[in-house]
Amino acid sequence: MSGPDGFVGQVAALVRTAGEIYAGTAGQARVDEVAARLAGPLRVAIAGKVKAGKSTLLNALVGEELAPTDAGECTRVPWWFRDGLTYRATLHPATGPAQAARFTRTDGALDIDLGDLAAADLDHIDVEWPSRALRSVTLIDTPGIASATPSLTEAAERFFAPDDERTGPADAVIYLMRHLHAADVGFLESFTDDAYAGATPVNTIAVLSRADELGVGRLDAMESAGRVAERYRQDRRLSRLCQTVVPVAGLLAQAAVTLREDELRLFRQLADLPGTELEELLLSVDRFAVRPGPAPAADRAQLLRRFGIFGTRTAVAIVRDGRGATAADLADALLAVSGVEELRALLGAQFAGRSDLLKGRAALLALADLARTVPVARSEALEADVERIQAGAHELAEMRLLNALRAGEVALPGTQGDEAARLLGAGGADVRARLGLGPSAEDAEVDAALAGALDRWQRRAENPIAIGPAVEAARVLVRTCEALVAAGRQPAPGPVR
Amino acid sequence: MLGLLSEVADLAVAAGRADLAERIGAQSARLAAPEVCVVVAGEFKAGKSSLVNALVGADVCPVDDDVATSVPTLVRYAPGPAVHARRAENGHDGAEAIDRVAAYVTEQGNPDNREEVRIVEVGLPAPVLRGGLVLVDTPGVGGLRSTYAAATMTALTMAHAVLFVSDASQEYTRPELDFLAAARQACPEVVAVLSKVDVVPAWRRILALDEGWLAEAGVSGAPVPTSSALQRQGDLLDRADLRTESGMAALVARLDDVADRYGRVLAAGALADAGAVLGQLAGPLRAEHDALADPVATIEERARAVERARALTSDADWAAVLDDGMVDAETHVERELARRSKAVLAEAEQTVRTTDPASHWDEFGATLARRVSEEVSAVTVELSAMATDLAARLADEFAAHEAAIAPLVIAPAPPALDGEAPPTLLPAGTPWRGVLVQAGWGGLEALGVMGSILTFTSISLFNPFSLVIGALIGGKSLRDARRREVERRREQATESVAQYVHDAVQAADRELKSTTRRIRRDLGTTYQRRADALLRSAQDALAAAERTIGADGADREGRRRELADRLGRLETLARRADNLAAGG
Repeated sequence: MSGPDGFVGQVAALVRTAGEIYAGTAGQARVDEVAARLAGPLRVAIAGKVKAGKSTLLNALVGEELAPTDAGECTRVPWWFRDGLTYRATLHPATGPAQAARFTRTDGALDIDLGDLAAADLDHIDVEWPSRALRSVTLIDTPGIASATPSLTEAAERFFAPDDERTGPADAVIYLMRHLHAADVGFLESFTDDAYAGATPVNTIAVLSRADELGVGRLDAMESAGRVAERYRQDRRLSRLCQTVVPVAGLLAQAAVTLREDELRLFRQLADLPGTELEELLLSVDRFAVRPGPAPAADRAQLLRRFGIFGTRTAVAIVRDGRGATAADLADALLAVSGVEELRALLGAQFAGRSDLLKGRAALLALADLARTVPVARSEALEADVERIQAGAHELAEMRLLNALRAGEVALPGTQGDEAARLLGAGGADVRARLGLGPSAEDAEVDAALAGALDRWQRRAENPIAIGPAVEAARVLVRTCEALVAAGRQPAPGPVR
Repeated sequence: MLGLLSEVADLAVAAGRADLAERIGAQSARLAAPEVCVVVAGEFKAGKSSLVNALVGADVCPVDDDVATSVPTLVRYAPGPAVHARRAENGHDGAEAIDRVAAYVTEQGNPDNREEVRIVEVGLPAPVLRGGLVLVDTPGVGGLRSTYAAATMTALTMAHAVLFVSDASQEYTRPELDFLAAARQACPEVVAVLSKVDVVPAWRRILALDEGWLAEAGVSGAPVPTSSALQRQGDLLDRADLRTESGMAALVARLDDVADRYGRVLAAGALADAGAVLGQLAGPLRAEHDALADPVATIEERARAVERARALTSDADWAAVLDDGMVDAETHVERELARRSKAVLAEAEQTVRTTDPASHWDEFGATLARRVSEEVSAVTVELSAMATDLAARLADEFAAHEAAIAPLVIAPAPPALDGEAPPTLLPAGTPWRGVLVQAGWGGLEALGVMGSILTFTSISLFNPFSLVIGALIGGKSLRDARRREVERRREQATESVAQYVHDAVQAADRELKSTTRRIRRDLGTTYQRRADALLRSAQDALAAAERTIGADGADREGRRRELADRLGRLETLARRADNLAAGG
């Protein structure tokens, strides 16, 4: 799957060729851009309706309270967060050269000095931030859709569907929604629109964000959100638009990764209160912040701001259970509740495992666009090469089949559809996940399962009474099995960290 | 007030005028048991059902993290709890137990509304409802499954107020503000509610932001912050402190204010009617009284009044106005439906052209059905506005005729010298479209048109789109993604879409035309009766004037005194009515 003859090798070679074709022309900068993108980490955009909790989730994933968050609408232009050698912020105006920006941090959050520029003038803000979490992935925080302020919605739409016909800047998308709103589906649809061929269900994960609020802050809110997410997973309108749906309590996750000792002390004091007194205090946010109780009211209000009522209730319950002996213990327990760990694992399995494929695909689309929009002597040949790779690459065929299965365009009898999707990596790119085996399955077990799968799909591909699409699907899956056999048992790629 | 009305009615009966007594009786009945209809609307999962439950102090509307209301639920006062499901075919089912509500109004209990329920009516012995408050819980707007969301807008034309609910977790979004703007067209009286303030630390920030958006939309004041959870908890634990913290009292006060103003509007209408009836009852007395002094002039004058009244009873101008107005309304409905359906069709065809119908079908069908009902509901709101304006014109015209033929017993109070209008029952600008007060006409709702407009919701029951399509695209067979196949599917889809939109618009056109006919009939009957009554009053007056000729000369002075005395008593009643109307 890799190496110079593999998909990624072919794409890289084509990008080099394009570099030669466009050397010294108007297209050169764009080829350089494509090359840099192919070499860099996967770009994952965090998208969703206004106030879906995009910046909060980004902070939880980075592990620092970095992106500014607020009760009102906050993110006005796309912010790129990438790993770097030094701490640096750069403003990229829609027109004109990029310029370095001064920044300060307020309670950890970046406060960037825009200088003479207004937010509306900016294409995006680029933040370089040395961080282990950003090494394998560049995270992009985007303005919300369905904002009451029209210009913010436009900013989001410009980001995902730039009007200059070039491919969007993201390789994959985490889509945040609070409930499934008509505007969500409309947006996901425009994102997976045929005209904007960049996005497919394969590179989109939906997150039921602010999941704790679904259960109005009750202690069992996350279980309840899990049930809602499960129902959404079954909903075909959603399954054709994204890989899966997971619930995440972003605020809790963000607070947990940045938990401080003084906060643990305050949780301890609360946990030591007699039962009824604690209940009375936790009945409402106003009571918690105002009623007499342990610690100054201002400290409690601050705790509430950081953890929310659900996080506070949960943290106190965990400490009372004796599972919060140290700040690290409490943080782990809270992270487990928040659902962010599942999301991380999912990002590893779905995005990191496919990183090269997703990037390569984006690079091909960018080259095709370039060849069409900036014609030079050999651009037609370039376009033909792109098409040749697109048609020939087995990895892309797999992705197309998986998308078609998700969209219901190809239907296989019985449980074959589920088996096929799994084999294509719907549950993770690792060979064990593809075969439906546990992560600890023995090598011999893997070999046997793989042989069985190969045999089954070979028979289906040769089934004389099966019709067109089913046979084509079976042929793709035979090649998938063969590739897995050939690849041997290579170690699975690690999750996004 | 009711005492005064019953005195007037008794006088009418004593004068042998059952028709006039009936007019007063209808007003008394409305005044005695006014129903104030408050529609609870907003985005789905905003906490509308919880709010209704908190207001009535009972778990009537189903509330769950994963359950949304899909059928409107109407809650009104009843001595004992009972549930009635009103179905499309106007059939009335028997009363059912209160826990049956969930089986009708949730997507889980009643998927795709297979029960074909239009509205669920719940009767409840809740103190807050005793004064005639009727709460309508609606499916949220913006939800994918709420096919009935458009019905909310239609229901608003009948509402006296809309509770616009949004939760404290974020400021208003564009879809919410769009909904607010549309809702105000249908019902100008908006009470904004900020829900779930018990769980959002920054709710005061959101409150301030929302207040700003409301001001921009032309709604003054901040939303009422509420916590349904604290209120219910307070009920369950019988704790006054929690009920106080819930903020529900402030909301109830706002609703009382709406009810109070509505009561004033009803009262003003009833008093105007009482004045008109007294004028007609006084007609014969005054005619006889005047004729005793100057028979010729009085008889001539009264004969002219009879002619004028007769002209109102057949081939009348007002009937032509009604006919023309209703024809205009029908034409408008037809034209608007055509225009709007064309736009929906164009959108749909655009979608079909750019996607593979096989992969988008379920959702596409739902979207299409939703778009069609949105457009139909917009036309319905327009129809309601046109009918109301027309009825208002008729009411004005009739009031003028009545004043000319049977003048009021006392002249209306002259405007104050400083140019300011004297205080009256009615604040400037009656906020309710459907409730007009001129000459006591009670608006569309007094005519029972509310029911006919609600029938609109059956449009979404009509011919579920998925059935039409399923047959064409072919259920679960293997789907072929090849280009040629996609093209074939697109053609079929375009045909099906056109067929669906055509059928749906036809059905809507039929419904709206029958509504229009009903409004026309009801208005026609009402004013025909009123014209007949007016003619009778004029004829009675003429007859009374004519009786004076040849009457015994010796009695004339005594008779005049007696008539003046009786007129004086009517005048006293009219003055009392006038004082009441002036807010005394």
